[in-house]
Amino acid sequence: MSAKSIGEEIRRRFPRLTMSLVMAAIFWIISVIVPPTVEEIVIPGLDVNAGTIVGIIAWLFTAIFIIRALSDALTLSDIVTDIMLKRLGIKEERSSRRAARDAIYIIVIILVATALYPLLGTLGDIGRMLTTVTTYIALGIILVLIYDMGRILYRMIERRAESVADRLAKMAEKE
Amino acid sequence: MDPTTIIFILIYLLTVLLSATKIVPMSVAALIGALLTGWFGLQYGMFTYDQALGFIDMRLIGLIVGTMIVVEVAEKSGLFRFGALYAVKLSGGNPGRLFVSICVISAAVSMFLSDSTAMLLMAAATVTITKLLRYDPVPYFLSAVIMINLGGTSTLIGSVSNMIIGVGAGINFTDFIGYLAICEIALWVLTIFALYTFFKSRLGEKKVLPEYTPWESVENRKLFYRSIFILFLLVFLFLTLENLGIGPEAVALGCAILALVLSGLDPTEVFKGLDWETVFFIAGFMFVIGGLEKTGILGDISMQLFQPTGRSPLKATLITLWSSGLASTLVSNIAVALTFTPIINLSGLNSAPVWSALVLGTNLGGAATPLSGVVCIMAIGALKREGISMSFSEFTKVGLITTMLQLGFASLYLITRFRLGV
Repeated sequence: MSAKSIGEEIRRRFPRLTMSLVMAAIFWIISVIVPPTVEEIVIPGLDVNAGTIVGIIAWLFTAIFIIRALSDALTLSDIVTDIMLKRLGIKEERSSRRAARDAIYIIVIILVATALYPLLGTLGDIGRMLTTVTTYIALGIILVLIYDMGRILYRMIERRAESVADRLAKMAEKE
Repeated sequence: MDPTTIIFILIYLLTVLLSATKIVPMSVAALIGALLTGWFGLQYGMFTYDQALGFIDMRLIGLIVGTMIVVEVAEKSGLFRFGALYAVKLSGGNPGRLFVSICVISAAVSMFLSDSTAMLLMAAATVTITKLLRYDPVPYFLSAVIMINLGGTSTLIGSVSNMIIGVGAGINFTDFIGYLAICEIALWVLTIFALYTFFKSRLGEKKVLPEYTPWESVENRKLFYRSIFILFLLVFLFLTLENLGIGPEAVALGCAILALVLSGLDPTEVFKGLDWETVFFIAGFMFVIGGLEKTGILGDISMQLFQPTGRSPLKATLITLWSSGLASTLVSNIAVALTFTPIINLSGLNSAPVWSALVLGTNLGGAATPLSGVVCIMAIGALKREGISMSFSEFTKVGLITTMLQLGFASLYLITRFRLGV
């Protein structure tokens, strides 16, 4: 993806993601606040109280907006992961070599963090705080790297499956 | 598994991954591993500073550096180029004979030279000859790579992994030949036959060879004869080692000193030609393995690997052969040899068939794919520089078939040679 199209994608998806999350939050609040206030009202004909109906509808809308947000978040996390990994020095195309590089980075981060703990431990309270911060930063980067490895594996299997399907289709067409 | 052991396993994996992916040079990868092993080992009190110094086996380093110096002097004398040109001349322009000559020379040359040096020599010779005769260079080139990997399987100094196993297992030069010489000869014949069958249609037609004399490659005949003398002396001393009461490293270093004195070459030039990358890789990796051994994990792996065998020599031999062979298709066979040697020593199954299996496994797995060894990567690079492309799948198809064939034959050989029963 070019830098320009990445920019366009972010411009298009980020507001939509924000709006979806805001809407999901609003409907979740409605599902929590409104039902107790209308519990007394029973809908004639259905014999169900209005609180349950409002709760179900609000949850439904929350779910719809969360699903919408998830699809945007997935694309954006792809872009953010790429940007982050480029900053870390991983610039190869998504290949098995890149997955190996991800694995190397994960091991290096674990080893560096482990090597730092005893040093930070000597700094007292600040050291304890720094240890926690180091752990969270390391965990965050490791998660991004595992995500990148996962999607590389996914693409590789997908490509392999496509080529098998293509071969099978060609064989079927020949028959 | 305790956290300390996990840390040392991670250091090992990091070293192997870094060297396999070539993100940093092999030697740097091993030195990073050694640095981390030192840091964590001393910090966690796994070993003392004095114990750490003992992780690097100086006998092995002495044997490798000594042999490298002797071979470097012989290389500078033009001895190996002379041999290659002489054998090509003998083929008389017949593509079949030329193909067999190139295969035999490649394997013979790599019995003395490091695989990468043998590759450089054979790459130049093969490209020149095939260009001159307008033959497709790929069959000749690929076969040379596979034969270089195979050459020297049966001698202590035939490959670095053999030296590691020989020193680690205490197998001397004569025992090495006794266990494996017949197997190596048979493997040469089998592999050449398989490669010939595979490439028969691509070898080209008979042509007239241009006039040349192999002596053109020899600039200094005095140095040439002296190099032959020193090489013979090295082999003779290796053969009579037991009567001398010294180790092979002493012989190698002694001959190296003699080579430097008799050749009259500038030692700086000789030292520049040595494969220091391999020496530093071995030193660093030995340190990583030393740390890993202190955690006790190698003993556990040894138990897990050999427990299912029920101490049957047959199963232990076959497991060693195939696991080391398949591991060598993925990572450097030097790393595999350095890892497996302590594992076998700890297993209590350190018998001649198991060590022979490790020698065969580490040697045969090195040319299965373009990523199996430095020599394969160099071969593809050399072809690319000549404007010839060889795909990953083309290399893998031939490499994998010959490797499986060789490992299959090696299994049968070990069973019959050592009369292994269940």
